[in-house]
Amino acid sequence: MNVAFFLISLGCYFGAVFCHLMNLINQRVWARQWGNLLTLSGFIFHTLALIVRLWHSGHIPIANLHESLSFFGWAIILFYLVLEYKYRIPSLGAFVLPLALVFVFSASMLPKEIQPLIPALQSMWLGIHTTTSFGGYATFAFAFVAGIMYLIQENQLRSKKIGLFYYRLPSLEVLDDLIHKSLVFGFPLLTIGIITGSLWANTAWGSYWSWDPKETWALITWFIYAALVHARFTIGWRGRKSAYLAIIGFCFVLFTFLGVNLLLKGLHSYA
Amino acid sequence: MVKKLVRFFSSLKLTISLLIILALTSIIGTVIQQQQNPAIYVQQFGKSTYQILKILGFFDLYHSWWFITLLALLALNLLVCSLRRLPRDLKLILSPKVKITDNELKSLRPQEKISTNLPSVDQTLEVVLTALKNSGFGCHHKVKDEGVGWYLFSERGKLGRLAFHITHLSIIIIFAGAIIGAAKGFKGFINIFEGEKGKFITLQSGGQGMRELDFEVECKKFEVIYYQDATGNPTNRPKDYKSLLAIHDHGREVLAKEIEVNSPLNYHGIYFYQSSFGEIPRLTITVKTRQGEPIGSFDVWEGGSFRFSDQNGQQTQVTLLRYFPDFYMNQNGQVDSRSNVPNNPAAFLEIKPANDQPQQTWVFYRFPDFPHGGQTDYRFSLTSINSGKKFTGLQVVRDPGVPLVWTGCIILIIGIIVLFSVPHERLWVVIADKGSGQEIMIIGNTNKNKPSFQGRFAQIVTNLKSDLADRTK
Repeated sequence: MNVAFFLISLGCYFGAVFCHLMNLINQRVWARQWGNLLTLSGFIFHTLALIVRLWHSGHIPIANLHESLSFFGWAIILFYLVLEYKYRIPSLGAFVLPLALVFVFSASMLPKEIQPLIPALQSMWLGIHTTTSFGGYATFAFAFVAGIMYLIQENQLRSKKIGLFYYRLPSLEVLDDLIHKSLVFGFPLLTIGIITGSLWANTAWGSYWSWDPKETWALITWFIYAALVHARFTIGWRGRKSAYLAIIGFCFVLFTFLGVNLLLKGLHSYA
Repeated sequence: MVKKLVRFFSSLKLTISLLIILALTSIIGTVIQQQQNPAIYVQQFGKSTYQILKILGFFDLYHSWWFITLLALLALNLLVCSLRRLPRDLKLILSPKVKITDNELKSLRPQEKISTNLPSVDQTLEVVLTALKNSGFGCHHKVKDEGVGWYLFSERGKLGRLAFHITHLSIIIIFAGAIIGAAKGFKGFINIFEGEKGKFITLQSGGQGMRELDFEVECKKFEVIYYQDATGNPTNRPKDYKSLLAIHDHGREVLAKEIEVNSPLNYHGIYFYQSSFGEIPRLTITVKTRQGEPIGSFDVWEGGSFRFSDQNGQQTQVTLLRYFPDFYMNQNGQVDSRSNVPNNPAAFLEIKPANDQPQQTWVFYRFPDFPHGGQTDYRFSLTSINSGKKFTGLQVVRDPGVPLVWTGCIILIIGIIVLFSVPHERLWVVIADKGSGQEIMIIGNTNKNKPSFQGRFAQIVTNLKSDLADRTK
């Protein structure tokens, strides 16, 4: 049941990405409307899939790679819908939805059976730690996308040629502000994610910090964003420098999430 | 000189450089496995590279002198930076400047000038106060200046001004907790058999030392529950494992608690965490006399022993020195076990008669007729291998720094949320009496999220203007 809902949502997201890309190329209003309708439908089915999965397994469905990728995509879509409802940033969907689709699609390629939890994961911290961490990751995805859009837009302005995207991308101010907002939400979420993780580690393993690769990479990511936050808010590194750092920061996020599990050994090897 | 040092240690460039250096160097420790046996490193990197990496501290990077120095520099940087700003920020929120000077008036934005021809200053003041109240700002201080008119001041989100200091202080608190933990705590593990007691902890850091607890821990019961498969048969995936532990202090049982993963036992600040479990098999050794008369069967596990006596009351002690579930001779001609599967179980026994030299012998489960018993008057055989004696693996930790670390973490979470979401907004209003009417200056200032503040500021100005217009009619 949850897998069926999940696959329907995946189909909707494919359609949504197609429509948003059409909108980016053709500037058709219907394409954007259909794109958002499909995104919303996909999101509803995706949410149902998560709820059914939660119901069947009895734990928050963020306990293996399929579940975490799926939840990561879900969180990005959720934040996108909120932003679209509140600010309607032009062409944001065409850039952020493909990213979400990559995660949801990768999730669909992995084994989808519900697996029983190993004893260490049976804790109320599972829900708090994973949702705050992935909430932070998903927020940083917007800083990343805004960073890319910023660089494209700025490139066009510098070349003084009005290129394909000029009117279709938001202004530099809007993009810079989106980076700002992502950091304002993402950095506290990442901080809470790391702290709840170490609280949990302390009750499960008797040590709040063991320099396990996952922990260390989360801290590395935190260092990078801390540097970005200080540079932005205190020295006033806006614009291009900020955009580059937002893109680099997200690469660290991706490595913390996926690279560590796939390439390095450690305590988080189940996720 | 001191000034230069203070400036260096409070500089933001230092903060950002330290954060980036810490991030990049931390990567090394995730690529090279930490705290391994030196032999493994030599094999992996070769002798000379090993020496270089060892000097650089790459095998225990996060505890190396230079990494600790970087963290200490970061802490110092935070502290100096905060202390340098603290007096100014405290002054700002404790004794706000109500009478704004001309210089400040010039530099602060946004600002707006409104003229009105209301007959008296007091009437204008009344309108302004109402408008401020409606805007949610209110008025915290007002001062009458005979020469000019009225100075009004109000502010919101004072905490937002302090959040910077709270956040940075919390990180110092966490560091302090970590230092206390490293200096006064210990971390180790102990395996205790079901029904037995233990008090010697094998320490994990600082070599392989032991630590004797001043009390004993008993594992009264140990239990593993496995997940079931679709047909209801147990799988080999543990669902839960728990130990019923009891603390014996000065020979008296003082505390008993069932622990499981995620739920430890605490006695006098020493925590026992359920971390692993295991089992060693129970072997049955059957003893007969050389003539074949049965004496008895005895259960024993590796390291354990049993005694029996002959008809004259002479006692013999038998110890199970080693057990090999899958006995074979390796290429060096040494005995070893090929696997943990009991394909060819073998036991190595030591037999010690009451008044004779101890002798050693092998017994094989598959070869009961193998000559076994040596020069003694007895014959031994390994008659069964049973699922045996369970032990619980406990992580034992004492970390007096933990409360401080959690305090720091909670303050950090609160501080960081306030820091990003509560701006310190200030609003000044100067009503200058010009004889035939008044001139109102409104000046605003915020320490973050300027666009949103400017929007609300413009709204206040618009509302005030229309209120004034209503009154003049």
